[in-house]
Amino acid sequence: MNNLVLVLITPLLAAVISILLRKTSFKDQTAFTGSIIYTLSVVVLANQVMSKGAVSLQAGGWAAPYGITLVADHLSVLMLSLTALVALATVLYSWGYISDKGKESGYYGFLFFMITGMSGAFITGDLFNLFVMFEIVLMSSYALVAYSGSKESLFISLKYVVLNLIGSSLMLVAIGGLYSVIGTLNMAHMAQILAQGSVNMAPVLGLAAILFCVFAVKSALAPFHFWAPPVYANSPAPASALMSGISKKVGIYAVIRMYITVFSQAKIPETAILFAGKSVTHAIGHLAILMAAVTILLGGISAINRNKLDKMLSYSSIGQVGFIFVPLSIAMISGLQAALTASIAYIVAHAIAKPALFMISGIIKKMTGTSKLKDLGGLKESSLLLSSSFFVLILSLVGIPPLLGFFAKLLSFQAAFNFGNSLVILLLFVGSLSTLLYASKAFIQIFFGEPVEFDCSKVSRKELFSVIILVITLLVVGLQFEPVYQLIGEASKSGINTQTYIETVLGATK
Amino acid sequence: MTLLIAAGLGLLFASGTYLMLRRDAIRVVIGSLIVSQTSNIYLITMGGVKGGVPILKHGSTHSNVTDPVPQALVLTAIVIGFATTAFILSLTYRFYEENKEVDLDSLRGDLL
Repeated sequence: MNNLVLVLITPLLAAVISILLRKTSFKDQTAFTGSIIYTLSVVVLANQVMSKGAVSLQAGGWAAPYGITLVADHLSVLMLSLTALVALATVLYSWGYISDKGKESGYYGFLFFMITGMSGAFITGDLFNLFVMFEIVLMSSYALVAYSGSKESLFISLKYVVLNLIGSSLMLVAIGGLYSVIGTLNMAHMAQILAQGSVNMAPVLGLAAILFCVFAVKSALAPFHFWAPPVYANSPAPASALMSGISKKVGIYAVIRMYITVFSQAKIPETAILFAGKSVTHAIGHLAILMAAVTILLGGISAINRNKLDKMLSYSSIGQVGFIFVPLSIAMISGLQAALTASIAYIVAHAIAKPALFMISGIIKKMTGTSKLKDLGGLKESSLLLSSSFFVLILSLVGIPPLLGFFAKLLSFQAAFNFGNSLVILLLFVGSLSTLLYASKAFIQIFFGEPVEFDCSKVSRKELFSVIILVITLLVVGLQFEPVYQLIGEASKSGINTQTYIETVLGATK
Repeated sequence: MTLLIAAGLGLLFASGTYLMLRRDAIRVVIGSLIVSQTSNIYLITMGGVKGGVPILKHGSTHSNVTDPVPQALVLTAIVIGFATTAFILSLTYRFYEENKEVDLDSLRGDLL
């Protein structure tokens, strides 16, 4: 049996079982076991891919490009490992954080359905299947946003559903159009046909732009970022941890897969007025870098003057997506593999640090009953572990060596220097400065100054422990960056090397 | 025929967009549902509207047959759309229960 199926089936089974057992007294143990089994299945798959190279599975035995293909290469496996890590921490955190009443309405089920969707999106090799996986992630996140049932959260969930209905419709439009122009939805087959150059490129360019907008909505890239802060601030802390940590990265992964791997093969004809002889990815890359620039500035500056910790983290998360997209769009424009490596390093750094920060924000809200920065203070008295974890996390966010965030920033600056555009370097600099400002503001406001009333007994060890899992991973990954760098390099190689991807899916003979 | 379908789709997208810009939550929901259904219709037309049924015997030719793949895709999209419709309608109802009105402007302020 192929291990690829395992990473889809285990979270799906865990979702069904945890919904069935939601009213029993061992619901938490069940969910935690589910997340451990999921992690193990990811480890098995990762091990296989690391030792033997990328694997593919033709679902139902229908040969590609006619059936749906599941593919796992180094990039997918890296994303899956991040998902497994954050999922494990999130489930453990939810064990302590979510009330019994909440769990009885099937909270773990939504969480696992979301994990299923994310794993599916990371391993699918079919564009329409990617749409389905997106919908699975979205469907569970709608429910998680409306979770508290308050007027505000229902309103925000309603807006979020409407926005994503528009996004999904646009994605269908793009998918339908691409199918009609290219004649296939299998990503590897698309790349192969586009490389032959017999396809009319004008609709491909337009549809690729529409598709990019859809992915920008998923990853909250400006000007499609506005949904993120209210959604993250109103979901339960573990759900926003999972959403900002991983489900945003699903959109970014889709950009890497579709643009760096597939659309880079589509050459705009020499007779075109703009971008003649360049690839479609190159053209979209110019759009992407503009959007990324706006995102960094908007996220960073808005985060500085937020008055609530969770709002600040949401805007910070928007800004960080900009940081991921700057090297990514450099890779799209120039095809530099080093730039893609920088972007993936940033994805790893953010996917580990931001969930932990959201979890800490949840702990603080539980201890003090507020997340308003001006009502907080002196929390260093509460727990040394909590304050030092927060400190390590913001250091990584700001980019202080030897943490992972530093290496990601270093690689991004390197890519920007190689790209040779001084505006991009200035942008990264200003962005980093704003990160430093809001991160230090939050740290000083929360942990120093006049101590406020807090109640440590409301927070269980499980919540603290899941934060510590993520912080220790971040420290280990930063201190042992050499092997991680190799792995990230492999991932970016498998992202940029279309030929290997085509061979993995369609077989070497074609 | 193609022109007619294109015009019809344009009209549907336009009316969906118009409804989504209203203040009334119900109209917004119906507008977004119209948009999502329109994209389903659009998806069907992407297979080419040729009129032939895609049931082939051995040895028969492929001429004048509609591509079945978009229809398979649209079935999936309809199912997903159905689930989302059910969810969004119950969400609107819950919102009405909590808020006692469906005017979206009644709730603003500290949300952003």
